[in-house]
Amino acid sequence: MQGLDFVDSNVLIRGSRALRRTDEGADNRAIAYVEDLKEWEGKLPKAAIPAIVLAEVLAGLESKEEREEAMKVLQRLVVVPFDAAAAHVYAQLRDAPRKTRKGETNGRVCAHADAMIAATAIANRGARLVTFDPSDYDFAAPYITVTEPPSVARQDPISFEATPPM
Amino acid sequence: MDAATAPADSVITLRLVGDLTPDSMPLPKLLELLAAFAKVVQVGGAAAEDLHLTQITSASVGLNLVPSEAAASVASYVIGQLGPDLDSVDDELKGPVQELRAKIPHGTHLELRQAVDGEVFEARLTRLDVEPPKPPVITGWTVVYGILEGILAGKQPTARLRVPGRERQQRVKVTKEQARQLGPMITGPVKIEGLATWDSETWEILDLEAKVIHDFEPISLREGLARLAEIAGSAWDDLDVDTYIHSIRGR
Repeated sequence: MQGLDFVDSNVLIRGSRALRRTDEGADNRAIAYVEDLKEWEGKLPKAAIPAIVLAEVLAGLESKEEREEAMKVLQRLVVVPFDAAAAHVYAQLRDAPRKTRKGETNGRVCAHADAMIAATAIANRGARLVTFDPSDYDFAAPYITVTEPPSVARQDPISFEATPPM
Repeated sequence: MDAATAPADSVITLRLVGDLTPDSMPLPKLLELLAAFAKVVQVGGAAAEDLHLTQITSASVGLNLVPSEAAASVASYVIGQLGPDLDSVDDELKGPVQELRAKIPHGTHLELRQAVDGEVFEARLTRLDVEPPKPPVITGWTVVYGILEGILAGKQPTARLRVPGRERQQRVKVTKEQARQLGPMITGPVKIEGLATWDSETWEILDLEAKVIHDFEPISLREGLARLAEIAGSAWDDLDVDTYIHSIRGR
């Protein structure tokens, strides 16, 4: 069965922003990717948010009230915790020499939050890690597909209205 | 390999004795047994090619192996060590001998006999039941999301979930009260928090005991982002997302 896409903070923030304004480039790519997911149509979710990403998105809001309001909404998405299995994977990722996509080892270890996000996806047998900074996840490439949202050619302004209820 | 052949009287006899039928000793099992014996001799210092079969007759489960000169002496040394217990066996041989014993079919024992220069070496090995090695497991709290496909009633009610990324249904142990709570949710999405045991090689959840059944009314990621956009207002309009992410991750 197809695993979940694990979505990085930059995709969520850009996607959300694309719903407020007509933009070009990355923001549109983010929301186009999200719209293409067609989640829950087969009754199963297609995308998940690592708890670390949830924390980063909430931290980007300006007030406690906004964060509490956002938390209520985001709890209705598939938010995957950094659990014991992810912790085990994290330790392995941090222990391994960082390898580039070309298979070269540059001796650096992966960044703390990057490793936690990747570990969450790997421990949950995710299908892909979707981010605008795939090179930050080179260390995870042997274990999970790391990809950018695909390029799109969007002409129409994006509706601000939420999707109809399921 | 051009190994010198030992004198004819050094032939090693392996004899399976006991409750044997043709079904209980199919060829693969026999090969496993022979391979395990060859490994015993090999670990002792001879080459695996130094043993081969001889004098095979129909209706016989006894196998005669002709060793090379080197293998003959190794085999007699090893067989001589295989007394009624394994205490006297060299440490490096204990593992291979255990493997050999694990290959002996149920209800049988294995007799080994070798005569070298008029001296007879004999051993009798019984079957050793070896548990297959279990993968290391990790236990901890987690949350699973999926579609509830059914609930098995009984002394230990079990919820069956279809979960993304897992080939098989995920079984979740639930209490009777939780089973009642889940009843109306069948065929719908569920979010269950509980204590999990993972296979640390495949990350399959081997065991999951539900602690909390959440009220979960999922929305799509698209809808979640639309609501987030309302909440964030203009706060992110001019945000340099890359800089923000890099700063919050301490780069």
